[in-house]
Amino acid sequence: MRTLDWIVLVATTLLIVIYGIWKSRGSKNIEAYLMGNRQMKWWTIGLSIMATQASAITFLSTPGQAFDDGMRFVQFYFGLPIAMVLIAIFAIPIYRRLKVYTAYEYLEQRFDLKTRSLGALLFLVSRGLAAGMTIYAPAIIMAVILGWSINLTCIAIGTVVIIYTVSGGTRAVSYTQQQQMVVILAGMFIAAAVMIWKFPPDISFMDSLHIAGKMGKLNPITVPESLETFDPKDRYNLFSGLIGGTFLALAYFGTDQSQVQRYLGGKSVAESRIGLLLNGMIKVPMQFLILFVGILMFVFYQFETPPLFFNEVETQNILQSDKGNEYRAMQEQFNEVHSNKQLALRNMLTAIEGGNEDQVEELQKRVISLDTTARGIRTRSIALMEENNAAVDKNDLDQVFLSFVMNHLPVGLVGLLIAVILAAAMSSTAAELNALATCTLIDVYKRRDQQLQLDRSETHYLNASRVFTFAWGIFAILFSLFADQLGNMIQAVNIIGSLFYGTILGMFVVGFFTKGIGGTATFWGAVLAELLVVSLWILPQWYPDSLSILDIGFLWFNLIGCLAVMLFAILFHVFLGRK
Amino acid sequence: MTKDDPQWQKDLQSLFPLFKTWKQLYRFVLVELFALIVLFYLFSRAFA
Repeated sequence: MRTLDWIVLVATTLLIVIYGIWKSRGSKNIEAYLMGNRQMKWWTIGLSIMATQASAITFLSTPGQAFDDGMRFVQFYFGLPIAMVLIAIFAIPIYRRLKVYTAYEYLEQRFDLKTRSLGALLFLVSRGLAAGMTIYAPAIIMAVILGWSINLTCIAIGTVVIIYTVSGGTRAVSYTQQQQMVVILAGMFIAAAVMIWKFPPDISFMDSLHIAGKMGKLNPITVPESLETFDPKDRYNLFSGLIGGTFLALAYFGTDQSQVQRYLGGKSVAESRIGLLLNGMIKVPMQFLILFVGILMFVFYQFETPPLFFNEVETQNILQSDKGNEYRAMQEQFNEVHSNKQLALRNMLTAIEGGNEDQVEELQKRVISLDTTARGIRTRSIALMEENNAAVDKNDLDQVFLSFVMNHLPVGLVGLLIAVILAAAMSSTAAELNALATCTLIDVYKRRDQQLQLDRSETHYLNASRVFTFAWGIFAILFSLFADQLGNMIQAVNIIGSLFYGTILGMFVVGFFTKGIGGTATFWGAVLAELLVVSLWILPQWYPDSLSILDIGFLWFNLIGCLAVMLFAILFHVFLGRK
Repeated sequence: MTKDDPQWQKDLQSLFPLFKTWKQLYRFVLVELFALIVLFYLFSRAFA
């Protein structure tokens, strides 16, 4: 990065953090520190909700995903607006009426202490581990860009977040997120504009759509052709998005404290509801835009020869090894196929312009065939890298967007786009630390004080909130420092959220929509449901031949977990009576 | 379940005068989703 990029990066980040600290100064009690005195406006809530969900990985890997797999990932978000409406109707009025700090307080008021403790525990475990990953995942990539070690990058990101989250609490998180979201959206629009501007002079925006469409990348809606071709393992299609996505969004936005805390800070029910619904209105178009940036990048790289592998560190490693010449030969072969593909694409565009459909179809087949050949060479090159180093990181999709930013954006904009990624990393981490501290204080520390009948001052709890925020921040940094030694644990941590969400949601659904079912039935129903979901995840991995039928996409776990809690709770209720 | 307070309706009208009732706002969010799905479908068909 050049000096101007560093100035833009540091200035953008510092301005946001200082603004957040300044706006949130002077919290005198936990109501102010944890709930922002419940004075948040709807636009702050809406942007804060979006910024919490959008982690750095969203901006690093989503364009890369579109580059590789097209736009079908957008369907993952189709359930979100439906969930926003349901939460606005059912959950917000209940949370606000009970004046709760955490979602899990509701579980005790509706059921009993053990059900609340189970909900809080599931949240603390899954979100506590995820907080470390939220720092670690972007740090791996940022470290390469900044030229720092991964550990130093993790510590730098974590420290900045700790400073403003400990100092200003919820208000600091929400106000910084508001600014971070503006920077993020502006950065993505600018990136899209630069990509179009960088197309060759003879390629128009409409041409880029034709190219992406003919190469199968414009696929925001995918439906199985018949019931027989329906694949439950397929994560991204219209049905999994609408059904599984609704349940996932209900669980995440309705019961995960990192999101619930954002709208509980609203000035009124109306402000909280509108903030949440704003997210429902903007999220799908926003994801479409981020994916579309990936599509534009895909078209850009049809006329600019891309590297065979986007991870520059791994590329240098193979080039400097004894397999370097073999890799170079593959790169040359790849470049030749790429040149032929460019020619075929230009011919195809001429045929489209001339309205010659037969020729278009023929050239489309040629382009796709050349693209398949190029992908084959890429696959072989990755296999060669693996042969050279078994521990090689084979997935370079997270690096595609960053590679474009570093190599093709003008000076100054590189700094802005890196600031976008840093802002996204900080916004989601800050919300997580804030929520973890709130849950620890309210559901564990203060609840224990109530049980022991200890009467402590507001100042004591305010200081305790700061200590918990700091402690969770240190835990997240430490976890991120050791994350590279966890191997497959990283994937497991990412999966944990999906494994727990359905169960947590199920407990709330039983609470909201049934009157007779008691705490014991719900608690044991949730324990059984969790066992069922974990079994559905583990068994097909242990017995891939005999139990492959159980191997389903993660989105469906949310639906199954939720329905299982309801079913088991009803059964326990029938056998146990109202307990 | 908690019934909507009439005050919330008034708050909505003062914040978002375009919508007179919460139902209208909910409907708008869902209709927008439906419209986006249709638009995405037409978009993909147009360039397939």
